[in-house]
Parts: sequence; structure tokens; C-alpha cells
Amino acid sequence: MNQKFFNRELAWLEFNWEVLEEALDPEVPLFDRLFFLSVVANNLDEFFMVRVAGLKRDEREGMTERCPAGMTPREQLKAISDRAHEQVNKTYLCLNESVGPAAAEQGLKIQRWKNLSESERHHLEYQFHEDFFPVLTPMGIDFSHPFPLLQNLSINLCVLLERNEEDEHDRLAIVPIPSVLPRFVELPTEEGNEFVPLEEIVRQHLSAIFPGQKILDTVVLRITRDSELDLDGDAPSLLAEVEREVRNRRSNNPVRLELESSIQEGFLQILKDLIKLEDEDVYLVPGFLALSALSELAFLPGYDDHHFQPQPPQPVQEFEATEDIWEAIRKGDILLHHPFQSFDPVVELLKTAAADPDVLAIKQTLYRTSRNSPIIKALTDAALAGKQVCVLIELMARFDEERNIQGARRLEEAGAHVIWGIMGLKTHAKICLIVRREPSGIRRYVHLGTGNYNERTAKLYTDYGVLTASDTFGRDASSFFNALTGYSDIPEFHHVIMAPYQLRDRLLFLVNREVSRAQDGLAARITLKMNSLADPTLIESLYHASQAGVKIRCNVRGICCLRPGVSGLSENIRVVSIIDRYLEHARVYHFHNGGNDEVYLSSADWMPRNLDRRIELLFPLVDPDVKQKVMENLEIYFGDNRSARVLQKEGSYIHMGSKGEPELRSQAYFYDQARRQGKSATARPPLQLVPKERAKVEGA
Amino acid sequence: MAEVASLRPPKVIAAIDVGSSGIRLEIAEILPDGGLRTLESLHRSILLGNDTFDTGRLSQESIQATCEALRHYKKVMEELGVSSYRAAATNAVREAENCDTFIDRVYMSVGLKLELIDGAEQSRLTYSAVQKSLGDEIDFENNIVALVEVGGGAVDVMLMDKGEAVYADTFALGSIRIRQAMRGSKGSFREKNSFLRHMVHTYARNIPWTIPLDRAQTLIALGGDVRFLAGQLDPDKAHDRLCTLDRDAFLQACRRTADEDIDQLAERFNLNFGDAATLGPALLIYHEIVQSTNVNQVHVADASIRDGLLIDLVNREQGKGKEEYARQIVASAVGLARKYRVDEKHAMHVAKLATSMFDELNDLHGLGPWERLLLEVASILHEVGSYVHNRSHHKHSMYLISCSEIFGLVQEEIQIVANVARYHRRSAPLTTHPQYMALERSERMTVCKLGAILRVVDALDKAHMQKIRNPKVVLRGDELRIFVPRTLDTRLEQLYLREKGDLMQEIYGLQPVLLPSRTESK
Repeated sequence: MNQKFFNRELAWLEFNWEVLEEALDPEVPLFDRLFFLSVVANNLDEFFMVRVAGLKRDEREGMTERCPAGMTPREQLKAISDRAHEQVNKTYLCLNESVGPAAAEQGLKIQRWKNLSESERHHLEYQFHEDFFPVLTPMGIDFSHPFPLLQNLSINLCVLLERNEEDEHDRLAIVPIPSVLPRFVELPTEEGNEFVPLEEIVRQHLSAIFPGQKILDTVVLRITRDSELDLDGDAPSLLAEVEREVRNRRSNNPVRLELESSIQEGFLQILKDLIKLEDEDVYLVPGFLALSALSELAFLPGYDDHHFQPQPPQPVQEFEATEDIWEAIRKGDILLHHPFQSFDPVVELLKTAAADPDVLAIKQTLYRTSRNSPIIKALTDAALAGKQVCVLIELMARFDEERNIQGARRLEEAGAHVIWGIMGLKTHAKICLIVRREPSGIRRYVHLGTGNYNERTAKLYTDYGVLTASDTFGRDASSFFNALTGYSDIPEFHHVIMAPYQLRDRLLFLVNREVSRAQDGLAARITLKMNSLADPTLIESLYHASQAGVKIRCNVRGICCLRPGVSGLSENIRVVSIIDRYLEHARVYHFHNGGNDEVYLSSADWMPRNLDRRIELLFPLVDPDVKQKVMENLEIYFGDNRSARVLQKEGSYIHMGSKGEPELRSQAYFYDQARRQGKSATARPPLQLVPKERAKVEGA
Repeated sequence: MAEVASLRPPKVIAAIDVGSSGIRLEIAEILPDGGLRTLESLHRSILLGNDTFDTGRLSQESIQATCEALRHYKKVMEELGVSSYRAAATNAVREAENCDTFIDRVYMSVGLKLELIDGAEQSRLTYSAVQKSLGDEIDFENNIVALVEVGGGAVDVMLMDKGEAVYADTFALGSIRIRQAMRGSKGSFREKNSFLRHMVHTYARNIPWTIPLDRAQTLIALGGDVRFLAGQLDPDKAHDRLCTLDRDAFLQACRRTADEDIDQLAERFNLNFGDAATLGPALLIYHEIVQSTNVNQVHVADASIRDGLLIDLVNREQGKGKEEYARQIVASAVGLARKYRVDEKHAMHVAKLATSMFDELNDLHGLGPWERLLLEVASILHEVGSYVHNRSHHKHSMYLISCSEIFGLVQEEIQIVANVARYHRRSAPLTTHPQYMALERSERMTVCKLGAILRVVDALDKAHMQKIRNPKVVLRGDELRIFVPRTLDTRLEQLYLREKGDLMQEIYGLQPVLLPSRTESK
């Protein structure tokens, strides 16, 4: 194994391990621990569908090329399997021995059939026959044919039936558990909530499905499939069809098989042979499958005491002080820090723009949107009001394709100019431009951010946004959209830097500038915050900088392939990760620049895919106050001694620990900060009643 | 009322430039002080020059691509509420055989009206842009300034002495033209590159032969390629309107860049191949030009024909016309006259007499200050034909003028000037004269009205001695009475006036007569 880089996939697994640590942490409220368990499971599902599937594809295609960490696909798959098995075991251990029993004490129970009372069983039996049985579609399996195509991530009950006289083998049947039914069926109880997993109920009623047949064994199983949809482009329809076919064929390959650990050895062997997966792809779990479903239970009403204290997003001072949203932005750049500060100003800005007769045009990118997105609604209203609305919607935003298509259709019907993605590139940049005609001339309002235009995730992810009326940013935004729409070639920008054209080069330039200062014996510092650090070129440049004496601090939430603190390589680099109730999502890059600090925000992580295959933006903070605030906030992350973990040179994370200092928890700090600012904002002038004067009323 | 007017949002105007290497759009707002604030700049690289300079025609693909780009531009213009625009097509379109159908196609399918702009007009537009943008930085009034722009299809060079354009010419030597000429040349990159250098050197020699660039004290270089180079040499000033480079550094950078492979350039600077391909030839041309000067610095300016078009639009909004440039236009005409060694005293005297006669006849001809300027130019140039031969020199004058460039005059205007100059003697306009008939009807009337005046005033200085100064002119009945001092011997002028008064009689119904002035006639 290469000493210089961590493997990307293993680094990701380490990150997920840290999420699991949150579920294990007794100081985290119980039902949030339950939620973290569902996050760990959900993360793993996506990881297998995309990353493991990709490696398996590489392996099948005979690729032996090594990753920057020096591992072949085979070696990676092996290492992933080992680590993932450990992780799954620990997850179930946490659920079965810690979080599960504790939740049961508080009234939330997930019951097994054997523990149910007679009357409860009767109730479920009735419900089975009334509600579930009619929608079940069992499939018989013929050993001479391929295993049936079970839907990706679906829960299935596999049944081993005794052979008839004419059969050579015992017979197999599959009962898929329909996803339209609730996964957890609630029992009528006096207090608390008791549930039985649906597959458990079906299992007890198999004789109704296979009457007169002897059931030898049953097991619940789930198959994870390659579901990479990363075929870009808007090919003409025929080609698109062909591509879809190819894609389906390819993506059908199973990559993981999960089974209840109670399965008998012989039965297991039959299934492994049928599904054609290796031991390393088989996960035997002690409990029910698909823990991602726990998210349904984590937010049941009545358990508020077992959640983090609610933190309603705080109002933004600058907008509270005035009725005129435009004036507020004209006064100076406004920094938004979500989810501590509300995302409402952004939605409000778009709503106001849609209704404002002076607004000429609205242009914006959309990557992931929410269901019934108020942003799409505002854009649709603007288009209906006759404004020029141009929306670049990314169809290939993983797992959000469906939702994005619906939104884009609505927009197009309203008369907006919808661009369905850019050929060969994913559009990940987050930018919104509003063009308004004002008495002094055309003015452009720009919102640039690190997070998606999604008011729901803006309550869960930490992100920055900047609102500005700066002329040069406005021109940059216009030029950017002119380039995206194909109206113009890619221009020279005043401020923004765009991937895939200039972003990596600019980052290299910024890193190297610190290197030259360090070489001249001057102070040189780099402070970075991002979700993933995986680009080999940039990591090499950071190593080089470290060796030149540049002090480098990284706050990398997820994948980090950089190996910190290795003497002779990276001794000046420190990496911490913050994992807490909100998902750290902002990308902030600060270069000391000899005291003339430059701070950038970006939609891009330092990953090859962001820098080479996506349209991303990097932009400097030019307003001194905004810059100062973001710089101060960056320091908080590195002072965090509650939710920060330090990445070790061998790849694991170690909790910071307070070492007797007062506790600093960055997310709590930022919420307090937002509240202090919001408070001063809500102190409005006293209400005044103005009586109408008779003369005025009559005059009108 | 004034308050209401000031609350109205500023007007938004646009300029489009359909050039040989790309199509560009600039949208700007007119500020209350008449200045401009750029709102958007768009650029599509479509190499029309590749078609025209190779096959002589614009290809269907290029026409389609241009229409598509212009349709997009129109959308952006509508979005920002553009109230007026000018769209100029330069030599790649002008020289194409299917130029007219192209312009019509753009008009019919996009709804934008393209104007054909020739070298001189382009120079004027560029000059006005440069002057407006660099007026503070560069002293045009006390300096000899050379303005050089290397485009895809042509090199425009202008020499300005004390703010007056004394030389202005366009050379058919653009970067795309050179690239096209190079096509098919065989050999290694090194061999091709040395051929390229040789070719540029051979062609560019014409420039200092035509325009005394060695006199220039300041050199301003314009155009995308040289701005790109400046951006590389001085990245901090990439967005500034003026970037000053040291002569040697400039020459060296030109050579170095021209030595690079196109693929290398495209890769290294993220250029599209079109831009990368023209960079080398363009910089080599700059190299040749700068070498033929004695300047120590090269000023690279961010001013373009589009800025000039926008300034024209602002002037139009403010009720000003091209007369703003009268001084430069006259200076350019004088430069041309000197080139053909005309009797400058006579020429200037005739011009003076002609313009004052024009003013006297204001009520009769109904022409404006622009035509007055054309008359002035025609008067200055009426005898350039004598350079060829005295016999039929009026015809030589017409020919020489019609193939010259005069700063600030478009082709149609030059044709008017050429015709007016032709009719300063001998035959009056006839329907059998092809160059006369090539003009539009209204232009033919202008030629007759101006020609009639020129013939009369030329007769007044037949002796080339400027005897008759400030004559008093009086309209009395059907007579144009020209009063001159009693003491003057005007027999020669009388004789010629009888001959050359014919057109005056025909057009204005006036018989010009020379009379000795009497004090009571005041």
C-alpha cells in the first residue's frame, strides 16, 4: 500500500464509521442516535450501489490499474468488504444492545412474532388477510433459470419448499415485500409505539400463500444492485433509448446480498450459488434488514425529550431591518449561514422577484430540489408573469432525477427556458441571478452558495450563501449563464472561477503562492473546509506546501485521502472532521496571502469529479465584513473539542477531547451566534396606529 | 418635468460585431453624463474568415451558426430592454460573394439589420473608442500616435498627428488569411513555422511603406490576440483598459508564442482551437509592425469597434452626428491630397470657397452639415488625378479617390466624394457615366448639387493664385452674383465661369456672374 494517500473508498468508510460513533455516543439524544443508525445504513446502501458497483465493474472489465493509494480494484473490494462487515456488525450491535433496548424503555418497540400476545396475533392475522395478502405476488424459482430480477434494495422473503414427488430438488419461492406497504406495522397499544416488521407478519402467514406445501425454511433477503446512472448527455431519442438499454443491462448486476444471520448453512449455499455472489459480498445480519427504514421511527411524535433541542433557523438581521429586500442587499453583501440562519431570505427573494414588475430576468441553477419546491414555484410564477426565466436543472443529480424532471417540466410549461443539463458535465454550481431595472439603471442581484437550492436540506446541512448587488459579480453571473446556455463562449470572469476550466489551476496557484512565501521565510497558512479531499494533484500540492513550511489546517467532513502528520511528507498538515447533528457541507478555502487574506467559497470539493467532470464555481469573498466573519467561523471549527475528530496518520479518527478547557461545540456556537444576531434584528420599532383623517378619506 | 425625466431608467443600447474570427455582442447603459456602463459582453467564436478568405463565400454552416448566435444575442438584448443597436459586419462578410444574401438571411431569420463596415469606417469607430477610453492616459493632441489592430482578415493602421488622422489604411493581411494561405503547406512544425514567419515578413513590409510608422511616438495595439498576450505578460492588468508593455518584452513574447504549437497553446491557455490558431500569425504581424517603429513601449488597449458603435449610438441619442469627426476627416483628406502632391494652397482655398458658397445656398440645396463636409473633402481632393496625368485628370481623381480610404467615410460616401471631384470640370453628370449611375438617386442629386458648387468655385481660383478671397455672394433673380474687388483682374475667371457655370444654371437655376464689388451693395 502506498504511504502517501489513503484509499478513497476506505476513507469514506472511516467517515461513515464516525457517523456510527454518533449513534454509539450516549450523550447524543436517544432518538437522534436512532436516526444516525439509519443514516449509517443509508450511506452504506448508496456506497454499495455506486462505489462498490463501480469497482466491481472495473474488476469485471479486467482493470488492474491501481488507485492513488496503490490498490487494485480487487484489493480495494477485499478491504472494503472487511471494513464494511465490521461496520455492519457494529451497527447491529449498537441497535440490538444499546439503542434498541433504550428505545423500548421509552416506549418504542419493534416486536418479533414470538413475543406477541394472542390478541395481537389475531389483529395482525386479520390485517394480513385484509390488507397485505391481496398485494403479494410470490414467484416460484426454477433452478435451471437465472435468479429472478429482484428490485434493488427491496425486502424479500425467500421460502424453501419441500419438493413434490416429481421434483428433483426442493423448491424455492420469493415473496417480495411491496414497498407501497408500510415497512413497520403498528400494533394497537395503550401507550408507546409498538411495531412489527411487515416481513415478519408475512412469514407467519406463508401457508396462506403456499397452501398445502411444506415450508422447510425462510429467510429475509435484500439485494443491492449497480445503479450508476452516470451516463451524461441529451442524446436524440433513439440513442437515448439504446443507452437506457445498455445502462439497464449493466446496472442490473448485484453487488451485495444481505440475509438474516439465522439462515441455515445449506440454504445459504443454495442462495449464494443462485445469485452468484462471493462470500465477501454476503452480509449476514442479526436483526431486521435495511436499517435505513429506522428514519421513519426516529421522528415519531411524542419523543421530543429524546431529540436534540429544536433549533429553529434564525432570522437574518439585514432583512429584518427593512421591508425592501433589494435595498438590504444593495447596502452591502449579506452572508447567510445555514441552517443556523434561515434559508427563507433566498426563497423570499425569489418570490419577491417573481412578483416585482421591475425584474426582467431570473436565472439559476438547480441541482437537488425538494418535493413541491417553493423555489420552482417562484420561478414558475416569474415565467408566468412574463419574465425571462432560465433554469439549468441537473437531471443527473444522483437519486434525485425523477424529482428534478417533474420540476423542470412544470417550469417549461410556464414558459421558462429550461436547460436539461450540459453535455458531458454535471452542473453542480449554485448560483442565482436576478436582473432588475432600477431608476439608476440595470442592477443585478446574485446569490452564490455552497449548498443546494433546497429549503429542506438547508435546515439539515451547514452551508454558506452570499447575496450581493456588486456590479462585477453581476456581470460574472450573466457571463456564466450566457456560457451555460451556449449563448457565448466561456469568458474571462472578474471574480468567479469555473470548473472544469480553471478551478484546479487556480487552487494550485493559490497553494503555490503560499509555498513561495514560506520559501522566502514569510508566514504562510492555508485553512480549508470541505466535504471530501481526494484529488491527487491537489493533495500533492498540499504535501509540497507542508514540506515548504506552510501551515495547513483542513476541516474535511468525509473522504480524506490526504495522510496528515507524516514527517517528511505532511507534518504541517492537520485534518479534523466535524460530525454532529447537522451535516457539514460548506466549502471554504482561506489563503493567508501574506496578511492580505483571501477567502473563497465554493460548490466544489477537492475531488477529481468536481474539478474535471462538473461545472462548479469558486468565488472570493470581497466584502471585508463577510470575509472577516467567515474567517472567524473557520477558527471555531479548529477550536471545537466536542464534535471534532482528528485524522491520524494511519487513517483512523480520534475524538479531540476537551483537556480541561471549556467545551466548544462548533454547531452549538454557530446557533448561538445566529440567535444573538437574530435577536437584535427582531427588536423592531414599536407599532404605531395612524388614525385616518377625515379630509384625506374624503379627498380620496 | 426634469425630475420625471431623471427618474426614467437609462437607455440600454447594444453593438454587435460580426468579425472574421468571432461574433461579439456588447450591451451597455447610457449614463446621465453620456458615459457608458457595460452590462454584458458575449462572444462566440465562429470563423467566418475561414470561409471567405479560402473559398470567397460564406458556407451554409457558418451562416447557420451565425444566425443561431445572433438569435441568442437578440434574446439577451430583449431581456435587458435594448432600445437601439448597431450591428456591423466587417471584411469577412464584406468580401464574401454571398454577402448580400447573408445580410438578407440574417434580417429575415433573426430580425437584426447588419451594416457592412469598411476599413475606414472601422478605423473611425476604433479611433473614437480609443479616444474616449484613453483620452486621459494618452495625449493625442501633442503626440504622433499609431493605432494598430490586427484582425482575422485585415490589419488596420492609423497614424494620428496632433489628434488628426493623417494616415489610415487597411491591409488585407489578417491572421485567419495567413492561416488559410498556410494550409496545404507541408513539412514539420518547424518548417511550417519558418514559412509562416517568412510570409508574414513579406506581406507586412507593405505597411511601413505606406504609412511612415517610424514617425510614431506612441503605439497603441488593439485586438483580442494582443490583449491575450498582454494578459499573459501582466495578469494583474488583464481587465484594465490599458496595459503598457516594454518593447523588448513584447517582441520576445510575440516570438515565443508564435513558436508554440497550436495544440500546446490551446491546452496551456484553455483556448479554443480557432483562437489558438490565429494567435501565432497575429502576434507575428504585431512583431513586424512594432519593429518598424521607434517606440519603446507598446500600449495594449481594450477598445473595439463595438465601443465605437456604442459611442455613435450615444451621439445619436444626443443629437450629434459624425460631424464630430470633421477635423479628423479633413485631416485624412489632406493627407491623401499630399500623397498625390496636389497644389495644397489651391485645394484648401477651393475648399474654403466651396463651403462658404454652400452656406450661401443653404435655402436652395436643402443639404446638411454632413454633405458640406463631403464637399469640403471633394474640394481638397478634386485635383489628385493630376498626379497620374493632367489630361482627363478629373477622371483620374475619381478613380484614385474611389479606391482610397478616408478616415470616417464609408464606401458610399467616398463614392459621392469621388463623383463630386470628377465633375469639377468637363462634362456634367450624364446617365451614360457608370460610376455616377451606380449611385442611388438621392446620392446622384447630392453629387449634382455639390458638383455645381465645386465647378463654380474652382473657376474662381483657376489661376491657382487665391486672388479671390472672401467674395461676397448675392442672389438676385436668376443670378448668382459674386462680388470681387474692383482692382482684381478677373478675365481668366470670367472665362472659366462661363464654361463651368452650366451645372449651377441647371441645378439651381442660377447664372453665376462675377461683378466688381460696390460699397453700396452692403
